[in-house]
Amino acid sequence: MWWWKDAFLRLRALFFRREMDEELQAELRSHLEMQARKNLSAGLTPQEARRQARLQFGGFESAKEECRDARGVNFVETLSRDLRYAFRGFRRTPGFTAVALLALMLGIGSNTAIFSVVYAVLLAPLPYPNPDQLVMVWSEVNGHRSPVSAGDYLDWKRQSTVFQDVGAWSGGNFNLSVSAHPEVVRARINSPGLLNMQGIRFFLGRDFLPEEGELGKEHVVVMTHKLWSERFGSNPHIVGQQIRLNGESYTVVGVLAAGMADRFESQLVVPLAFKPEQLTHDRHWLLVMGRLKPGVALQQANAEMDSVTRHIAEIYPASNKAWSASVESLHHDFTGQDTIKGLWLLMGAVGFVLLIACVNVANMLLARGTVRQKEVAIRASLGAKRSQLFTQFLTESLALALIGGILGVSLAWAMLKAIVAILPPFSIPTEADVRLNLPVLFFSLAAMLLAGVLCGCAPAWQSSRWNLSNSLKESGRSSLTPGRHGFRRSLIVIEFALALTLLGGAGLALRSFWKMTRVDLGFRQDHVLTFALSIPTTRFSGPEQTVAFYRRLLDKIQALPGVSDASASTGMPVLGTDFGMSFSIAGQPAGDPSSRPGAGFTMVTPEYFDTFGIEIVRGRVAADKAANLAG
Amino acid sequence: MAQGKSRLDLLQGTLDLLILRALRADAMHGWAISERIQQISRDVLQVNQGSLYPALHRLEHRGWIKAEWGISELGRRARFYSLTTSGRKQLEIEAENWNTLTDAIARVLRMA
Repeated sequence: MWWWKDAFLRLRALFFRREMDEELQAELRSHLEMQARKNLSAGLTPQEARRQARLQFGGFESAKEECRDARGVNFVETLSRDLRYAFRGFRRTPGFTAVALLALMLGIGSNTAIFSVVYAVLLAPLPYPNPDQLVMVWSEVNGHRSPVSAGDYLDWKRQSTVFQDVGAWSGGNFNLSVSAHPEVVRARINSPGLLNMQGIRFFLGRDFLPEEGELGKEHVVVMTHKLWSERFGSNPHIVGQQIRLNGESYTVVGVLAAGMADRFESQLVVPLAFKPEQLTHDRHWLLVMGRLKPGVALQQANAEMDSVTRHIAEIYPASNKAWSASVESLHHDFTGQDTIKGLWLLMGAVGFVLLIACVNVANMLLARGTVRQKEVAIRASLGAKRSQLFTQFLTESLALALIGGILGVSLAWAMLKAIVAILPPFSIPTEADVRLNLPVLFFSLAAMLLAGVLCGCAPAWQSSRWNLSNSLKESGRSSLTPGRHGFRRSLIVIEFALALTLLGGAGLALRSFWKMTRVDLGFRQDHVLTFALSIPTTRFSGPEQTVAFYRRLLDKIQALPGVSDASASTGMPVLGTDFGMSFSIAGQPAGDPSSRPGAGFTMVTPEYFDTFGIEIVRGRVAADKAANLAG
Repeated sequence: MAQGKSRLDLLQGTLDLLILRALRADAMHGWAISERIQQISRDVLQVNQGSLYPALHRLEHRGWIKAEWGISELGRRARFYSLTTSGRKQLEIEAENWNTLTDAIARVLRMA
């Protein structure tokens, strides 16, 4: 009961301030009248009776003030008065206000933008149900994690007990042709049930059924909302229809919900159906994800996988000796340490920018404060308490920070669009949804309050402890006492130090970047055009046909005017390799098959080196033999 | 303010108790409350009128008394205060506390 009555009184006091004041005035006046009447009856003259009544009452205005305090609205009243006063001040000094707002806008804007990225990438929970249960299970050899072999995956799935479910996937390219317009589309090859296990929502249809993971039944496909709307005109009846992938017919069984899945590199999902020759323990090509049972800790899962992998290694020593497994939380599992470090570094840099902005604004406020010294002195002599002056100045800087912050958030909104546009694709996890959301806005609000207090404290403190009589004696001339001057000077020193640090950091980063753009990569990057083309294995019966196709293709490209060299390869320079194998060095003992060294490799045609301008330091390029292309 | 020797300044916090007590029987406006307290205490307790109204507003804000505009004995508008139910309870509590306190002090003084 009490609280709503309280709230009612407060609201009434706030919105009907004038009425309340008039009531109070009337009440006190009627008191004085009654006292005067009493005094009159005691034999005083009417004038004296009124005078005595006033005297007996004591401080009339301070009693009124105390009554207002008792009603508990003074905070709001003071605030609105201070705010009104602050805005009047801002209007009077538009130049100062504009510069201060600009500084705060840049400071808070850059912090909001970078924090959005930090939040989305590092802090936000993964957008899946019970994301803590989702783990990646890697094969591990000599302390390095590696993809998983099909044989291991199936054994893990059968033997482990800590998972609710385990799924595997790999990737591939498909030629998607819709209405005679072919396109290479990246696809995920998922074990049935993986999408459901992860908790990725469907817009239409369903995940693959277990039997669709069997050979011969795997010609079904799930697509993202983006692909569905871009290539299939958002056809609501797509489920059940046939589409052509690699020249074969696939039945659409589902469309993923819009949003997160649209950021996946793979726009198609097809079922993983193992061919008999794929069921080995030595070819590592699968990524494995599991969902832990409720209450199972990572440690527990790792311990169990240790014993499971030891057991498997005993059965298949040739392929599995020295191989173990590592269970890792899905969160951050695909975010490199460099990315994490880089993000925090950026966050620190924009934090400095905000600090500099604050120091800058504080200094401007201090300078403005010296001009306002006389005004403050007059207000103090009219009865303003130190605390009231302090609040007044703090309110001003908080108002500045809030307006600057709101401008900053709009700036951040624009910056984010640019950041998302220029981020190299897939440099941050696809789950990361970089945008201004509630946690980010809370952060911005905190930054605003911090900025307001930071840049408001010094001037507020300074102005609330001026020597009044001195200020008034100065007859309007603002004076600088040595102490205050020193304070402003130290602020400038702080600002300069911060700016120098930032400049140094930025300079070093720029220099590294500049050097990086000048590193000799060992191949020519100009005047080289590349494109990817996948060959449907079903169209070509054997290696000879494939080789013949490439030969014809290269001859035709070579014949184009302006083309000097043409080559085909399974990968591009510096982009890493898609294939790997283990090897042993001739003349040395072969050793254990499982602990042999391995290397990635790229298959190329002999023209590759000429095309990319790669210098052969020793030896020669392999002669053009059709065998080079086999595979 | 002119004060006789026999008049005591009110202890902090006792004003609330006296106001509540004065309002126990019937509704009164501020001036009457101060008169009543002075009268009953045979002029020993002098209510500082400047602090009477803040106290009244504080008690109203707490919900222990409520105020209504009425017509005073002079035929003028005046604000009449009366006890609420929770105010009545509060009066009991505070009176009890006060008695305990004064008893204790009296006992200590007698012992000395």
